[in-house]
Parts: sequence; structure tokens; C-alpha cells
Amino acid sequence: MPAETPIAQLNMAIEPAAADETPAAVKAKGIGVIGWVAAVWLILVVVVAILAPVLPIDDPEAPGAGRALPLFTEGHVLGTDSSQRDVLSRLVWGARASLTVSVGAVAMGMVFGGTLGLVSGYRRGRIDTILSSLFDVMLAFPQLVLALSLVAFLKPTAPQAGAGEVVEAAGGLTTIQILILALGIIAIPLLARITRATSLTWSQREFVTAARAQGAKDLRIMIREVLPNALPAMFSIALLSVGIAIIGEGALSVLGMGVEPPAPSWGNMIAENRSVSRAPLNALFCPVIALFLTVMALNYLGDAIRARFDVRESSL
Amino acid sequence: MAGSGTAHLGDPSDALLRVENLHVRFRTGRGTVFAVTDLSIDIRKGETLGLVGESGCGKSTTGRAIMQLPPPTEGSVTYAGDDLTRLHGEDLRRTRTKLQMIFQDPISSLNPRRPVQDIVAEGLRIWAKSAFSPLAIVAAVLTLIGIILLGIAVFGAGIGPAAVFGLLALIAGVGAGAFHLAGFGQPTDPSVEGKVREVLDAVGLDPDVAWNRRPHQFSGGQCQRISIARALVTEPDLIICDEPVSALDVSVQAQILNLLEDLKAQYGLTLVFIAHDLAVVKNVSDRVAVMYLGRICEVGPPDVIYAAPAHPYTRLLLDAIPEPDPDHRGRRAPEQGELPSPLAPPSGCHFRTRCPRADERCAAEVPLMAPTGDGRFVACHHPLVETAVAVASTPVG
Amino acid sequence: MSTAIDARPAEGLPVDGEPLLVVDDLSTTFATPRGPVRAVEHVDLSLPRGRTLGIVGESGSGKSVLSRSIMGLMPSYASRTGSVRFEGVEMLGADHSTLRKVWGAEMSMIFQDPMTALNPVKKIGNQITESIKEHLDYSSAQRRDTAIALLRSVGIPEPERRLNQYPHELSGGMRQRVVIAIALACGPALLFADEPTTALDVTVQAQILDLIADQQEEREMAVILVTHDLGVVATRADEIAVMYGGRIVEQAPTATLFREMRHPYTEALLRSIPRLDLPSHTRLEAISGRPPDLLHPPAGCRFAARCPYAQDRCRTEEPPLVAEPGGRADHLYRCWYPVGIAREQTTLDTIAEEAHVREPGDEQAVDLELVDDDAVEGNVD
Repeated sequence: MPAETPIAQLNMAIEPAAADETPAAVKAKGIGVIGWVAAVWLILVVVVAILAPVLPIDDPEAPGAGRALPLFTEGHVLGTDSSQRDVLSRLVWGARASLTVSVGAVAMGMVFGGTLGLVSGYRRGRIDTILSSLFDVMLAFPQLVLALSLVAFLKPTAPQAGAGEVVEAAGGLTTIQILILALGIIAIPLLARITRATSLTWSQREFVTAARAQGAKDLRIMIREVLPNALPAMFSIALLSVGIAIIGEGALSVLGMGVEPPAPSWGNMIAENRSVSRAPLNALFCPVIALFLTVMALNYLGDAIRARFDVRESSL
Repeated sequence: MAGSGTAHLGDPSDALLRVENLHVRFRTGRGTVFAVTDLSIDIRKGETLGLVGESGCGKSTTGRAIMQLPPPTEGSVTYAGDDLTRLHGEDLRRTRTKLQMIFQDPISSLNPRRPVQDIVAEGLRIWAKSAFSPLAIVAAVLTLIGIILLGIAVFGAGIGPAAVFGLLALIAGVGAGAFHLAGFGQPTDPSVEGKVREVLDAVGLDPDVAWNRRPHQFSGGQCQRISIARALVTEPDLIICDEPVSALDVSVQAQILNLLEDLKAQYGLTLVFIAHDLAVVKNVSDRVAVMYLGRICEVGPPDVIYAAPAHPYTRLLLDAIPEPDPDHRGRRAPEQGELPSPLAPPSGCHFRTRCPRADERCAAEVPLMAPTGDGRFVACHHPLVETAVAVASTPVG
Repeated sequence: MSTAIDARPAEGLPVDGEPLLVVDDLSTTFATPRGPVRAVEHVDLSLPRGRTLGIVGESGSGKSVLSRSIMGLMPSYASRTGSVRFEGVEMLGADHSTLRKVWGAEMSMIFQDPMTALNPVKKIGNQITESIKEHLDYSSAQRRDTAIALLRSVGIPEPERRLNQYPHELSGGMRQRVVIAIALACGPALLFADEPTTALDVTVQAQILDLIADQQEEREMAVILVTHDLGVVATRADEIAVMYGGRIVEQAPTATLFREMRHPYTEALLRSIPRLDLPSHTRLEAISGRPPDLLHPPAGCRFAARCPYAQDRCRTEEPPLVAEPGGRADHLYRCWYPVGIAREQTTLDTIAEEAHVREPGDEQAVDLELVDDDAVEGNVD
């Protein structure tokens, strides 16, 4: 049907009504089967990552001798890589590194980006103009290049052999902390933009005016009236961002700027074994599949949670 | 119409609130919108003042300008001896609790994530004395630890695990502090609960049933009752009702109108009732002001105005209303042209471009308010009812 | 339905004297996850050319669903039973191409909100000629002339210039006129006006209603006017159907309805609206409670729960929609104890006589029933 006939308009006009009548109920209760599957996978990954030190697994960094072992070898369920290190153990320890980096970075983005976005969307006016321009500038940089430069800037230059002196500057930061900082700075404008957009719409609602009429201060209104309504959208984007940050850490590893070998992260496991012709396939595909499943699960759970907590406004 | 002047203002001592020479202008991308122009009105103790007019006439803007949400561009709003436009910060916020608002959209005016008791109690909790709660202690301790650790890092130890922990503690401390200032962690006050129960009861909601439910579990009419309860809880003198019934079905509309009248008597309220529906405004008002394009056309008792409108615009409005009576069939609305843009209102009387009685004088001079002798004042050079004195005017310029 | 549109008789000739539109036992059900919602049930209507039928009801009464069910503009989870014959052709179950030939050309609709009914990125001229292009074999010059003529006929000044404007350049009233011009573009035989003036100011509302009436007279068009405003239908409709809870509860020629209303709901509706001719502070008689949940409709009369006169029979047995024996055959109502027969007649005048100024402590109609979480989805309309 040609899109703009009056008939099409008729249909268009009926659509919103249809949306109201259809099953808010489908999403009304729970987060759905896929949501639960995603949640179970994520919980598994997180629990395993946290328990890594106490799990009965091999040392992920201790190299063995000989050729890589294939899948389902006795003692090495997922085989070993070309240095004879146990893939399962590296996967578990890698999850620990990858999750710390990505969750830490997104938490940083949530705290700073969320605060700035909330203020920007609620106050509007000049503050908003300045902050929005700032976010736009930050988003205009190619993000991987920005992350690379940040890591390169923050990373201490390698200690001079024999000099024995720890390099000053940002000297005390571990690689993980540097990665959190670098990826967190990139996450800030992303989360700020989303938070700003949602708080902007909620701030124009009349219950905000009502709160001001009752004498509430801006801080109180932002936290009590606007924030709870903006949180579901923020949270759902944050979950997506965790997935992006895991991949981002991987991309940095491929470029040699990620978690430093021999310590494993999913990213540097893929990076080390990416030459398919030489590396054993199990060592490459195990982290790829784990990464894929985790990012998918985060996406699904983000959607499911947003749908679940989208507020039902009325029964009218 | 659409006149200026202050002849219609009563004795200041009778007035609960007095608006003088109010101007509201908005800057938009296409130019300046003249939303309200030189409007003066007094609101007398215990009355219901109806503000009626078509969309874009500035009636809602006037209501909000009285509340200083946002403050008017020019003019004064005098309440209890204070000019609200000159108050700032804490003074304004405190004085304003005596003025409350009810909004048109029952859905938009309630926070969907808060339970009813919380919504209604908010007005009291905002002004409750802030107690020293565990949350405040946590915030202070964390902030202190953060500052100390960061200080140690800066003045010697260098960046290490302690500095990172300090940074995290500082962030958490500041966050907890913000939540404390936003009123979290305060002990519940039984007197607040009693007051909330009382107002919920007064608006016809069962406190036990409504208590912890959220707005989406209520119908539009009930949501409007919750809004009214929220406005009542701070014991205001004046409630500005901005189209409170236009989003409701007629049967529910009647309930809310009756309720407003009852509460007005019970709590000794003064109401400003803003609506586009002339019949609704007539039903609840003691005095009606008809607005057009940012100015008042005529103001007076509804029975007088509706029986014999003095301003041609009021006549036009009344003629346009479809009466629920088949005998009125075949009466045609007069063709009156379009509302001029508020970006460039006409010179002189704003209504002259649609007025059948307009002449050169209407373009040259802004008519001033003049009494018609029956308690009503009209701003028109050629009113439909004789005025007691010749209409004074001010030349354009 | 396989009857092709070409098989219908020549333009304007009714089949066997049948009116333009005949609706027979039409019911519409929405499938929802909580069960079927019967939004409209057992509606019979007929509408000859040139006449106006007013459908009045509150939100949730099914009035909008009814007009869309007649037109066939239904979402996929709605199902209809019964029969809708338009110009002698059965429309229920007609295939999509048949319907598309009818929509816009023979039947068209004016929507409540002129903001959303127009496409903001298309010029007004193109939006008007779109349906002409679809349905009539006109050259582009002819289409342009038709569009100009249409805009002029709906009272838009300088129509040539307007063709090249976008919707946002027009005021709300002007936009609604454009929407009407689009609806009239192909000379429809039946026009649905679903709350056509609710979004407009009173002065504009009167002009738009006059405009619809003029066009109706000129084109001998039938109009179905859906509204919640008794004032609008009182002066514009020839016949009025009052809907409540998905049913027509009373149907009569306009004058009869206002003089001899029979259904307590019609009476309550008329009593609850503030009137210009009554003094200030007149107490309004609100209807307590709220409309029935269509997911679990009550056993008896749908209005019984809110009806001041309801008796035991009303709660168990649903009254049929019938004419009063020996009375006017065109006045149908659905009540066991009708106003004016079982008790005193109410009219506009008696309401005016009974009017009294409010006093504190007057009994107050209340609305304490909570929206049941389970019932939320049941509200359609």
C-alpha cells in the first residue's frame, strides 16, 4: 500500500490504539523465558569469575610442555592452547578480568555520565547546552582510537631494566585500573546522552511542576521524581554497554593494549590465538563463544528488564 | 478587547492575591511569543475565580506565572504582603506552599513509580526537619575516609590501592550525601501519616485501600482526586486548578466539580479555576474573567456575563457552544476568522481583527476596564452593554 | 467475500430500497492475553444517504470501536461477526483490495487529532491528491484543480498557496479542515467523524461542524458522528445511538431522545453535564462507579451497578433493545424499568426545574472501586 494514502493514514491512526490494547500483559509479568536463560548464563559467568581462585582448576599462566591438547582431554575439558595452558582455567580467569574491566568501566560511566545527564536533562538551559556539546565532542572521537590513546597515555612506560626504579606519573595503576579508566571515559558520554534524553522528557511532566510548587529543591526532585523514572532506560543501556566494553577490551588486546599476557582475558585469549593456521582451534573458539553468549545475554536481559520495568501509566 | 487597566481591581484588603500589570513573554525560534500582556486581576478571599478562553489565550500561562513556575517577565504578584516575583530561593519556596496547583492530565501529574501515600505526603516531608539519620553518618564517614586517603596519596604515598579505595569512598560518600539531602533515610513521622489519611479521606478515597498503590491502578477521576489530596496536604490558601476536568468523562467530571466545591467550603479555600469550557466555568465560579490573546476581555459574576455578555468576544464564545438541546438546531456559528498569531498580536484591542464592531479607534487605542454597573467590568470601545462611564483608553505606544 | 466492487449497482442506487449502510448484529471481540474483550456487541443500525447518526458514549463505551468496526479498520487481533452491508455489498470478510477501493473513496474518516492525522513531511497538496490518484483516473492538472476546489470548499483561504505548505504551517482548525478536505476528496458516500472537534476550540468547533453539515448537504453524504458531547449531537444528528459498555442502550431520533428519554443512563448523562442556562453553583448529579469491565461483563443490564433505579431483575437478566409496545417504532431502548414509563419523565426542562445550588454535605457520588490489575487490559476504546 502506498504509504501516504489517506487509507494508510487511517491505518496509522489505528495503530497506537492497537498498541495500547495489545498485551501490555505479555510483558507484564516476569522477564520471559529468554530473559531467564540470559540471566542464568550471566549469573553462571559472574559466579565462576568470582570463585576463580577457589575453583579446582589449573594455574592459567603456568605453561606446560609439548603440543596443544584437543577438547575433552582427560584433565583438560576444553583442551590446552599452544603453550599447554588449560583453556578452561584461562576462560574462567579471563572472565574475571574481562568482567572487572567492563563492569568497572560501565559503573564509572553510570555514575559520572548518569549524574551529568540527569543534571543536564533536568536543568536544561545553559548547563544543558554546555554539557551536551561536551558529550557530542567526546562522541565525535573514534572510540577505539580514543581508548587506545588513553591507555597509552595512562600506562607507565616499561621499567628500565636494572634501574629498579618504579616509574612515577600514573605509576601505581594496574593495567586493569587503566583499562577501566579508559573505557569508563568512553562510556560516560554514551550513558550521559541516554540519561539526558529520558530525564528531559520526565522533567517536563506535571508531577515535577507539582513538586516544585510544594517547595522541593532541585536535588530532591532530580533524585526522587526524575531518577527513578530514568533508571530503567539507563540500566538497560548499561547492560548493553557492558557487552560493548567486553568487546572493547578484546579489541584493545588485539592491538596489544589490553590485559597484559600472560594474564588471561577473553580479549587477549582471542588475540593470542587469532592466527587460525597455527593456533589450536579450541583455544580460539572457546573465548569467542563465551564472549558471544555473554554479549547476547546482556542484550536480551537489557531488553527484558526494560520491558519489565516500563511503567504502566494508566488503565484509562 | 482585550484590555488593560485596573478599574476592576477591588480593595487590596479583600484580595488574597493581587496580580498587577503581568506580562509573560517567551522567546522562541520564530520570535517572541506575547503570551500574557498587561494583565491585572485580584483574587478575593474565599472566591472561585474562573479564567476562561480558547487555547493560546494565556490562561494557563497566567496560572503558572502566579506560581512563579516560571516567573513572569514583568509585573507583580502580591500575596500576603509579599511580591512573589521579588522572592527567591527558600523564601519563595516556602511562601509558595500556600499556593498549590492541580493539573489537567491526571496521568502526567502523578509520578508513576511512587505509591499514593508517598505522593501525597511529599509536600509535608519536603518541609520536615531533616534528622541526623544513619545515611547521613555513612555519607560523612565515607567522604572523610575518601578525602584522607586521597590526601595521603597526593602528598606522598603516590597512587596505589589506598588511593583507588579513597576515590571510591569519596564517590560513594558524595552520592550518599545527595540521597540524604533528597530526604532519604528519614524516620517516618506519624503525624504526617495522620494528615495524609485525613486528606485522602476528604477527597473520597479510602486511605487503607489507596495507601500503597501506584497511580496506574486508579481511574482518571481517582488520579485527579489524588492530585487534589496532594495539593490539600500543605494546607494552602489558594489552589490553581488548570483544566482539572477536561481530560475526564462527563460523569466523572461532575464528581470532581462537586468535590472541589465541597472541599472549598470545608477547607476555606480560594480557587482559580482555569478551563476552556464555559459551562464548567460558570458552574463553579463566583467571578469569571474571559481572556483573549493574553488580555482580559471582561470580568464579573458569571450569571451577569452569561446572560448578557458585554464584550463581543464573550458573545462569540457563547454563540459557538453547542447546547444539548435539539431546539437549537440550525443556529450557525458566525464566521469569525482565525486567531491571530501571539507572535504578532494586533495593535490596540487584540480582538479587533475578528470583531464585527471594530473601527479605527480599536486599532489605535487599547481599551481600559470600565464598569457596567452590575459588578462586571469590560474592556471594549464598543461594548454590547452600556458602561457606567465612558471607556477610558491608552493610545498605542 | 468474493463479490467484486464492480458487481455493485450503479452509483447511488440502493438495492431493493435498502439504505446506504445496514449493520446487522455486529459484534467485535478483541483477543487479549487475559481473554476475549467484547468491545461491541449486537449492534443493529441503518443509515440512509444524507442523514447523520450520532453515536454518544463515554470512554470505554465502544463508540470508536463501533465506527471502526463498520469501516473495517481493525487490528489483526480483533474479530467481527454479524453483517455490514454498504451500498448493498457485504463488507464483513471482504478482501483487502475490495476494502481499499471503498476506503477513502466511498467511506472515509475524520480523526480527532489533526496533528497526527496529517503527514508532517508531505505538502498538503500531495496529501489531498494522494487518494484521488489512488481511486480516480485524473490527470495531474485535474487533481490539482480538484485539490484547490476542495480546500476552497472547506473554507481555507488562498488554496493555491496552501497546496505547497506543510501541516505545521497551519493552525489546528485549518489542519482539521485539511483533514476534512482529504476525507472528502473522492466524494465519499459515508463519512465517519470520530470526535472531529474534541481537539479544537469552541469557536473553531462550531465552524468545523457547520462545514461538515454543509458538505453533507451538498453531496448527500451520510455521516456517522462519534462524540462524547451531547451538545454536539443534539444540534447535528438526525438520530442518536447512546452506547454503554459495548451495547447500544438507547436509540431514537434526536428530538425524541431529548424529550422522551427512556434509559436511565441517558438521563444520568444529561443530568451530569454543566449547562449554560442554569445558574452558577448548580449541583451536578454525577454517576457513581465506573463502566463495566468488558473482560468479565456483568450478568444483567450493563448499567445496573451504577443505576439509581436498578432492581433485582436488572442484575440477573439483560433487557433486550426493543421499542415500547404501542409507542414509536423508531425509539429503541434497553431497560426493564424505563424512565417516563416506570417513573416520571425527565427532560431538559425538568432538570432545569430541579436544579439546586450546592450545599456542603450534599450526598456525593463516589468512585472508590479500584482498577483491578487483571481488568486493566479489558478497557478498550
